Amino acid sequence: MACLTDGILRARLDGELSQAELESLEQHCAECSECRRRAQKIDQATQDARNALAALAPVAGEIPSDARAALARFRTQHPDLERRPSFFASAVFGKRFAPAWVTLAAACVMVGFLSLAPARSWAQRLMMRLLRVQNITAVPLDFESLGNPTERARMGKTFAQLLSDEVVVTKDPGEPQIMDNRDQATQAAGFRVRLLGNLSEPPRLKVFGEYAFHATIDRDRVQAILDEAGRPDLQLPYALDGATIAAQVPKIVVAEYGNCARRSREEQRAESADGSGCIHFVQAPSPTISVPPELSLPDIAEVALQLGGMSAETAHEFSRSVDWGSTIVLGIPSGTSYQTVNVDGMQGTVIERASRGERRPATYTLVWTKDGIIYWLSGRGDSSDALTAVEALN
Amino acid sequence: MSPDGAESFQSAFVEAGSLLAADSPPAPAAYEQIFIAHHGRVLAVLVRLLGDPMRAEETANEVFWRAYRRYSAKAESSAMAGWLYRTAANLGISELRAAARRRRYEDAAAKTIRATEAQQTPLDDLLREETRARVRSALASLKRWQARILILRASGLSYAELAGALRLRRSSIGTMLARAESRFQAQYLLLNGSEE
Repeated sequence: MACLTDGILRARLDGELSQAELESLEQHCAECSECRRRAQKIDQATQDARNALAALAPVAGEIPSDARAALARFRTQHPDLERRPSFFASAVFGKRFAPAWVTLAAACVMVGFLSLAPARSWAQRLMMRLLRVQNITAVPLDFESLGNPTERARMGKTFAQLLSDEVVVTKDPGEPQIMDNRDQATQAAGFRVRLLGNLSEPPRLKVFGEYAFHATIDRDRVQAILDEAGRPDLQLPYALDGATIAAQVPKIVVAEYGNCARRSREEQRAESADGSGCIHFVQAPSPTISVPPELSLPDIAEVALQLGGMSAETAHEFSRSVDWGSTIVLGIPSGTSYQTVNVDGMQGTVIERASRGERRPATYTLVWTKDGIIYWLSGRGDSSDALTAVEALN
Repeated sequence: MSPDGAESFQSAFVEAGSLLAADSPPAPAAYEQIFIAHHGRVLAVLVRLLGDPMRAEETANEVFWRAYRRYSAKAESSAMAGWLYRTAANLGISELRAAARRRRYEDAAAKTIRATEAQQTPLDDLLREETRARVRSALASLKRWQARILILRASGLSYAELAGALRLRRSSIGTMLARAESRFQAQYLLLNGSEE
């Protein structure tokens, strides 16, 4: 007969075994010295733990005996008990699945991984597809605490692998279609495509097809990544386990200005020297994201923000102050700066990364939303270059 | 679906609104029953972890408020009860660990007690508070799941209740408890040894 598990030996001490299990256990222990030895060890540890933890038991006066009095105090604190607060609930707490913007966690983690070189292009692509934006808020994050660049890159890779394992693509966008002109792109995309009017050369226009996927989250696997990242103190909500997140992404248009083809290292160096570069102008209607109603986006956001170096208190407050139904929070990695700007009659955010030597010139990313479309402009230079580029948007 | 982003956005929220209308929160009277049924034990979990009854009640209120916002009238009471205990343990452990990070909890707590209460507190109370500070310190140094299962078991949850609260199989509870206790025993001895 196989030896008894620690679980069986431990459950015996709490009277949680059935009569049959108990008889089987006693019979086995009578014959097995190894199990008797283990049982003794578990008995000792249990007794020690019980004795120690018993010291925490409340004594008289430490716990109010009257739950009704506690309820009265609770009601004083929450006089609006009859009304469920409007606080992002309309977006998240549906009967079955309520549409909502994808979680801050995804945003922060993904934006954080933008700073991880190997995962950069992956994260950038994925983020554009996942996030739905009506408002944009930026927060500085610092992923230095997650180890050196090699360790962070490994973590990025693990995370990417996890996503690729979990994501089921139900509508594949296929290869992007190359369009001859704006009208053709507008017709293919189904929304009015806009262009940067003050650039002389015509853009190369690509229309990416509709994209849909769903993913079922394995909480333990994501939690294991946090543990390995040295942050086992951050605990993801249990509701995340088995949660299915579904996304439908409408067609996206990318206008490329300049030389945006994949280049060799020598070509990139030559480009840096002569100052030319590539500008990407992305126009993406908001996708529709569905998350289970029991999934608390602020709880997940709180974990993600702490992973990004925010203190527990600040992360808690911040995650409760954002309407996750309509806002995407851009996590700004260290080494970059950001500011709010007026663009296209709206409020936008421009993120700048300073030059890091000749081979890595300064770059900008300008993000804003208007009429349900997310605009994303990235290129070489600083915020003034970004704003100049969009001056004559048409 | 219309390809127009603005329309799809709007339709998504119209749908959300209609779903919400069909999904009302628990009626206040029903929620009060839940509150009264579980408040004592939720509070006991938090008093064990935090020590301070006032702070424990504030945290308990936060737990119940979150539960109210989270669950609909149709939620099963067992699911809600599990959530209440899990959340109480998580919030309590978070506070405990934050305190441990801010200072070396066992030393500071013990010293504070010695400095401020020695003259007014009977010896038994003083010793009990010192022991509690050490136990809490050991709990704060454990992995969160270990601290959670220990404190909930110490607060009287059965294996079935623990399985519901921690989303574990009932058959796994014994194993998890044995591991957590073994780790707790080692940490507790380590901390006591270092002080003596």
